[in-house]
Amino acid sequence: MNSIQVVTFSSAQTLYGVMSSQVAGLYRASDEPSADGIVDLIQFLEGAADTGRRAGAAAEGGQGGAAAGAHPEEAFAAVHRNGKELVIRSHTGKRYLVPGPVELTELSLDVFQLLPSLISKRSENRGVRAAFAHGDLIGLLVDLDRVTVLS
Amino acid sequence: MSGVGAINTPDELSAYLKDKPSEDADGAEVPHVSVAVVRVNGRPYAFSAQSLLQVAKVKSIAKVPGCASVIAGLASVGGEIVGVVDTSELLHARDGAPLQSGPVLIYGHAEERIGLSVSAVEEIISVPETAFRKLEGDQVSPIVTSEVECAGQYMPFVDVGAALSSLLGQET
Repeated sequence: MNSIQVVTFSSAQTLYGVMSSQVAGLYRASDEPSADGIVDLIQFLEGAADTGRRAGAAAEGGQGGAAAGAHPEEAFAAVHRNGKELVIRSHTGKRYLVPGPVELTELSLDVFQLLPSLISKRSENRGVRAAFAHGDLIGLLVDLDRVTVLS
Repeated sequence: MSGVGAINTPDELSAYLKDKPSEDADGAEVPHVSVAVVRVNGRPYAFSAQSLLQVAKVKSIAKVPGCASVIAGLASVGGEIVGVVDTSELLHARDGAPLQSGPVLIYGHAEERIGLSVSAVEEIISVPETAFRKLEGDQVSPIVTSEVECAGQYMPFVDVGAALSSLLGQET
């Protein structure tokens, strides 16, 4: 096996990927009846500040949005109305809210690299396990199992 | 001219004279130190260059959420993804947003390649140890203990090895 499939999506500042082997389902957030138990993946990875930025950007686009610092369920409701958010369901049944659009991409194993120790030793983020090159961009590979453990 | 190849052109002579170690009044060789003269937010610094591998120009530095502010992020250099230090933060010389592209000094440290983002790289030169002078008082920091005269002006000398060891939590 020289390549793996990765589901990619982007926040305002970073490209992320999740191995497709960790993904059991993917659907629009607007089809999700309840916010209960959903992990906002970008909020988990980047903190509340970025959630505020995303919500603010959505509001500027006239597509709804939540105020920075809003309760997580209120933020979910706002992006739910936005219609661009998606939900990833993992094999363990856990659900993760991610910003759309997402892409399913086949990437050569050669483009993956463990995080440099400079990063791993100076980061508090345990959800990111590796980095990958994707065209001119560098993406961060998220391990959903690590997010589940910590959330 | 034992040990020196044939010099036939002014360029070759200039190159020879530039690399030739200087001698003190007694004729003894003065040890030299290799430094990279850089600018960080307009201020000149001399970075130790013994373990400097290359100067790369990166198109973008990808931020990594959750990292300390001294970490600029990740950059692709020669097909390898390297961690990059936000040098302006390291030197407490931040003026505006962190650099997200431009020249990056790539150092070899603890079997890893690590980048330091700078505003500009002016030159990489060899300077005699006599060009250094110790700093005192509150000018001293764990990574800047002296300054060095380069091109007629004194500038802080940054011990990059000590800085990277500190960032990686290693003993120096």
